[in-house]
Amino acid sequence: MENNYKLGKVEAIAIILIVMINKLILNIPYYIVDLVGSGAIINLLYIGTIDFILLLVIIKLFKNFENSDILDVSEFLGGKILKNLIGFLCIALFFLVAFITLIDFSNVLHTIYFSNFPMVYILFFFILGVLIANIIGIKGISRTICFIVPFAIFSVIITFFTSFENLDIKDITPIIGKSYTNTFITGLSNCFSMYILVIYYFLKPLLKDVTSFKKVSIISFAISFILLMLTIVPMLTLFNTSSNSEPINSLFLLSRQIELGRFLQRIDALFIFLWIFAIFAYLSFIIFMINRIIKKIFPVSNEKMLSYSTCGILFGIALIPVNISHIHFIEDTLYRYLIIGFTFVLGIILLTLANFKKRKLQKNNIS
Amino acid sequence: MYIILGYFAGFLGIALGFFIHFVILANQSSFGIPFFSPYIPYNTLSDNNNLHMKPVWKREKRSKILNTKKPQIEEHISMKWRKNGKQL
Repeated sequence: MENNYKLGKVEAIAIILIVMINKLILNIPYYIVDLVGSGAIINLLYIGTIDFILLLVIIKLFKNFENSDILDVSEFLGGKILKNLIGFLCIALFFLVAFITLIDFSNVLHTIYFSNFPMVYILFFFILGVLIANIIGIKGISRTICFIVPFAIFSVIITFFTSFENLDIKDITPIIGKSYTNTFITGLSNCFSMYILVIYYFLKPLLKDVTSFKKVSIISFAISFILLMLTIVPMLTLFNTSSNSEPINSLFLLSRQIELGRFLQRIDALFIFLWIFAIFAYLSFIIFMINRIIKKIFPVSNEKMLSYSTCGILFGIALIPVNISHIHFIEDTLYRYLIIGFTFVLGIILLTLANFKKRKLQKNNIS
Repeated sequence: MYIILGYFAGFLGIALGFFIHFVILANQSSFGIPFFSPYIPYNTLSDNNNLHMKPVWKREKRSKILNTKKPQIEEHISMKWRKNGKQL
């Protein structure tokens, strides 16, 4: 199990993109469109700008901390107590993310393809794949992600271009949406859609070449934003934005509309296969991150047992919800504000205070 | 293995098998060279050992995986006499 493996530029970009693609496969585009209606495009440009500024701030604040992630920064700032506190919060956040992803996608498979299968078996298959991948190590996981990302991006692009013929200018009007307040003030909570910002807080020590952090971050952010835009625009044409309805897996429903002549039909079956692969890869990476954070907090001697434990905990948590509507509620409320709180508030405060402390120490050393 | 997984869980089982198989292969290396090199991890300078190879006159660089002191084999235009219009 090689966990000192460092990621190259392409591997790091691929990992960020697989995180974004998994959010597109699940319900993130739906939540954006549900909140702001036809103003989703303007809202997306608006929150994209805010998130990009935040990314530049993160890159700038991390400049003084070579080869450090948010846990190392919090240890520098507040000692082991703060590091452990932030570590537990990050573990809880990643577990929440993995739990939502797992339940949501298992529910999709259960509803569409495996109605006679107990949900437990579908969850078990995912956990099994994730466990084996984590025992093998991050090298295998990152290279698998490099393989799957181009195909997943291709599926998003194909979905966009095939729904292009149904695009009507009337569907994206009124362009401001429900109201100015709704699009620009209430719509600020859509910043959670760029969940990849959380990953940037942990990315630097994973890179082979730490100086490429800026390049990797900007390129991956730009591509993720374009993919999000390519999913939102067809959604506006396909779904009624004026009425509330149950969350639906937007990308899957978009792919159901694809008809490439009489030879290629029901291409969503191929895409589902790709997306299962993408979910496996994404969950494996999340469990790797959880294991990494636990190893930073506690002295772990047996890494294999740690993988068993984290996968077991995830499986246990995944069995708790009785109804998928609980998950959608958690996704729409707790998850949304937790991501915003972590990326916009906690992370920035920690980095800013750590930078001030470093500058003070440097001044004291000089004097 | 794929047949058994397919019987038990349909294409979910096949996807699981394919994923685990791919992760194992991606983790392998042969004499220090990754199994899926140069495609994963993407290696632009591995031009001379590939499925699609450039013509002989375009192979100007040695493979990055060899970690040589001089990566450049030949100059950009090695046959200067042809460029100058003088054919021998």
